Amino acid sequence: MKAIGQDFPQVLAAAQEGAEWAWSQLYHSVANQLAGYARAKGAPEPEDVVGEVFHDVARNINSFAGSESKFRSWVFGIAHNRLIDQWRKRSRRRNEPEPTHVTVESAEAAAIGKAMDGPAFQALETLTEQQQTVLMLRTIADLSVDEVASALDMKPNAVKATQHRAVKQLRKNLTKPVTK
Amino acid sequence: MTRFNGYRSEMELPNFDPHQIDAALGSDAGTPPGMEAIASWAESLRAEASASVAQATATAHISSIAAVAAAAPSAAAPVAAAPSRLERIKRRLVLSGLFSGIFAKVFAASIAVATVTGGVAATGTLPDPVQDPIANVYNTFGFDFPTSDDSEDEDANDDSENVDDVDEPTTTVPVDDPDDSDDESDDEDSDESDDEEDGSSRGDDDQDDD
Repeated sequence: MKAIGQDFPQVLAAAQEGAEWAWSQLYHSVANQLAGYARAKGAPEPEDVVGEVFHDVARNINSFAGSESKFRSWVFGIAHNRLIDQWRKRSRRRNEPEPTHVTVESAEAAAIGKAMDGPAFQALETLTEQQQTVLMLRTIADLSVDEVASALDMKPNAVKATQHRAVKQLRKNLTKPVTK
Repeated sequence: MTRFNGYRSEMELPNFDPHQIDAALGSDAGTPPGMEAIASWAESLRAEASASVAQATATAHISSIAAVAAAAPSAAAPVAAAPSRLERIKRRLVLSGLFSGIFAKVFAASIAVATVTGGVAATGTLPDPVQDPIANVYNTFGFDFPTSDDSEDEDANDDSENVDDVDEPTTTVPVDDPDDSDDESDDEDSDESDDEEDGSSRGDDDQDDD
């Protein structure tokens, strides 16, 4: 993460004017975490998600005012909603009859499939959807409790309770002894 | 293996300090004691999900994003990020209370105005330009409010009654007196007899002329 820090107000003002250098700073401050979150959420093309999210951000940047922390929450909130929409569209497509031609799996998709099969992801999949989302935003996106609450439109105490239950369940699973 | 078939009951697990959880999940804090497994898991998850946007892709993104931002309409007054759910509920309650108060006041005022104007209009004492519209409104709802036409008719009726009182002579029907009727018959008889007498005399005169 390349935090902008104290210069954020000036960078935001310049970005609102359309300055490319300012957008470069905003983009690089969250792009990798955003791609990681999209990947963890099963997006087939995480880079495309980053581009689409930042287009949404650019369209609405003039209606935003706040700190860098709020900006991160705002960006990840947009990403979260967009990923839910994509997931719904994919679910609908899965219900449709499959095409007869054979699709060649891209290297990136294969890599994502491997990533999703990792032990950390397998442990994550034992949790509820909301617990998974909260822990992903806390770890991969490196957001604070308040930032997660703002991104998911939840109360901070609800986020704390969710992550507490998630960590408790996760610890229980991780410390489970292997039975023969 | 424990007596819970290899699993430790969730009840046996300690309740974590929120700061411990923050430290275990965060990327830049030290691992608190007892949270090593969670910290290790978080690190593995970050590694598995790590993704870096390619430089060429990032450059293309930034160019198009800056163009979109430059073309975006500028807001007159930037607003803060979306309000929380609690703030939205508070606003809704305040607005609903405000509007219900305003509507209640307007309703009460309109009822009061309708009562006062209706009461005065029922007596027909308002000026004609005011009386007629109010009477028309109330009459459409089945009330019988006087209009300016009604009051003019009443005035006309009052005048005609007065004229009748003045112009019509007061006549008294004479009481029939039996004596008078005899007198009249006597008079008629006497007239006839007079005529006969006259005729006889005329005939006499004619005869005299011959």
